[in-house]
Amino acid sequence: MNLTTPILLDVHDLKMHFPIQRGLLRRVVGHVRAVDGVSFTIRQGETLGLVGESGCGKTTVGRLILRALKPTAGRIFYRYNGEMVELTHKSRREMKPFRREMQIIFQDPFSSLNPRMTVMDIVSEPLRIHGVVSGDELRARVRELLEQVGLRVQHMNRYPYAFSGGQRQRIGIARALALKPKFIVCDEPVSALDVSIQAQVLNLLRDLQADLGLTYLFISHDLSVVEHISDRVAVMYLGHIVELAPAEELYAVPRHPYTEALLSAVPSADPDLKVQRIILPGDVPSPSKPPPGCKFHPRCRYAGDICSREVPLWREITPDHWVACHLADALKLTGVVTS
Amino acid sequence: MRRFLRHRLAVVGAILLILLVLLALTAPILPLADPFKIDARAIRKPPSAAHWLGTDETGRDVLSRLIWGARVSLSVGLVAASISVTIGTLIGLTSGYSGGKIDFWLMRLTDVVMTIPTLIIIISLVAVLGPSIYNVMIVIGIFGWAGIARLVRAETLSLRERDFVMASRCVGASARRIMFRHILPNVTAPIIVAGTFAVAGAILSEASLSFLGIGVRVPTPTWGNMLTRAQSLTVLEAMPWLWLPPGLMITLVVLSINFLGDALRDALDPRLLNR
Repeated sequence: MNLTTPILLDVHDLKMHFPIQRGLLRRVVGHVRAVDGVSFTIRQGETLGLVGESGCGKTTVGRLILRALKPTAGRIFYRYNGEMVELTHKSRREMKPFRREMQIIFQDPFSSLNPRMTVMDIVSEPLRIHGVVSGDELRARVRELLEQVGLRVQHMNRYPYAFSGGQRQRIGIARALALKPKFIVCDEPVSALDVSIQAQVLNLLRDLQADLGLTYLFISHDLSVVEHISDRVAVMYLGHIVELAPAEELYAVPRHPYTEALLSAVPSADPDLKVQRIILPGDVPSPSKPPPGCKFHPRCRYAGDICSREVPLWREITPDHWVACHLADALKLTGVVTS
Repeated sequence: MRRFLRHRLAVVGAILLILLVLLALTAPILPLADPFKIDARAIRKPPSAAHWLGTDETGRDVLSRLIWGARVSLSVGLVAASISVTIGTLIGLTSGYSGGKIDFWLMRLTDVVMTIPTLIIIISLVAVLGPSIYNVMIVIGIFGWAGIARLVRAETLSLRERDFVMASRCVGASARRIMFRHILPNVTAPIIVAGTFAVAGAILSEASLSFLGIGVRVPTPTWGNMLTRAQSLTVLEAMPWLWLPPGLMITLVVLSINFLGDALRDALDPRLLNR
């Protein structure tokens, strides 16, 4: 992957504010700023990792890109037939051709499969909706998909409850691949699985990427998983991306205090390695009442005066390394040595 | 199925209902007396070998009328319940899935239907439309859907947030496809249960209407209008064969259906489904 690879997805200043309604008349009393001005690009064939703790808005970003939600503000561009097309205001009907190109893999393998449908029905649904193939061809395509994700074809007519979590996740992957998409949002695809199964599914995703030339947005709260699979990593905090850099660089030389704190919490396989764990004081502020200035300043151990007054700019501090921190130049932060 | 069979009462109820349905279906070919034949020589005769359950005030055979009455009472129950279930399911699905204004207004409509004292409205409607079997079926059906709509809406609200709904939305499935292919199959269990109770309710409503003389008209026999005799004190005290059998039938059938519904609810509980 290099800087000249064409950009597949360009997200610009994306915002999603969910209204909070109260009382009989459902007056809007405030907004949850789930996503509050997020910008990034994804290049063709790369994996962008998106990390952050629960409730920071990373799942919402994924859903916004797929237009399962309508963004409050901002723009989404996607490369379609060689041209950048804006998806932000497309209607359901206008979105249909793009649905074939962009798919999603879900976190919870139990709620992501309809318990009343067979594997055949689940995997073939996208093909039926788009009327791509039918009859014998449809069965053949489903068979091919199941083989591709490492499931037994004989199990095609079973219902989801007959499968384990890992197998269910493979069914979900087969469904996502049915329409031969180019871009897949992986929304915590391994968080609900056992560690031994996690590696299998991650390897499957990697192999598929190599074979089919897929581009991933890989959402996770697990930094070691993201490191394993991503080319670049974006760190989210309270609806904002605070840092974005190539994976190795981000882990070795973080430039944002929040990234540093997250990295210090990654468990290490080496028992002799002494890591200074950074414990952040307090809780994540409510996204309906975010603090002024830098959203992270109340919990930041380096915070100065400027941090509570001014919102830090999103800037490129070294080539391809973006950060939003007033003090990024002055600070010397500790990363982790990766194997 | 095993969990269903554990309910003894429900099994008894189911057997009873099956027998009764068979009886009702085969009534025309059974060796029964003509339920409409008036016999001036045998008025209000107590049970005997010729008339096992006696005769009524125009000399018609009570047993025969009881079995022919089952046809009317059961079909009114089934048809009215199907109407309620259909309307309730459609409104519940639309309301729950669409949300927003549509949901708000459909639910207010449901509230209105729920707060109306159903029997009084039905009585006045039947009075306007005229008492026939079909009017009774339709009117009972049209006022019985509110509870089912609420139930289906509640289930739909939770189902539509599931990832599999999101997944099919992400491949571009239409709202109709999601409602009928994804959500409806997952609410069938509670709908079946509510449906059985609706049948019992409709049979009771028909009986009440006919008892009051504004349901199904004589000479068509129904359990409700057979009970009308019990309005007279002499009959009530001296001729129990005229009102006891239809009264018992109503009680037994409604009880059986309710037991059946309870057992179905346990057997179809989605939390235990995957065993």
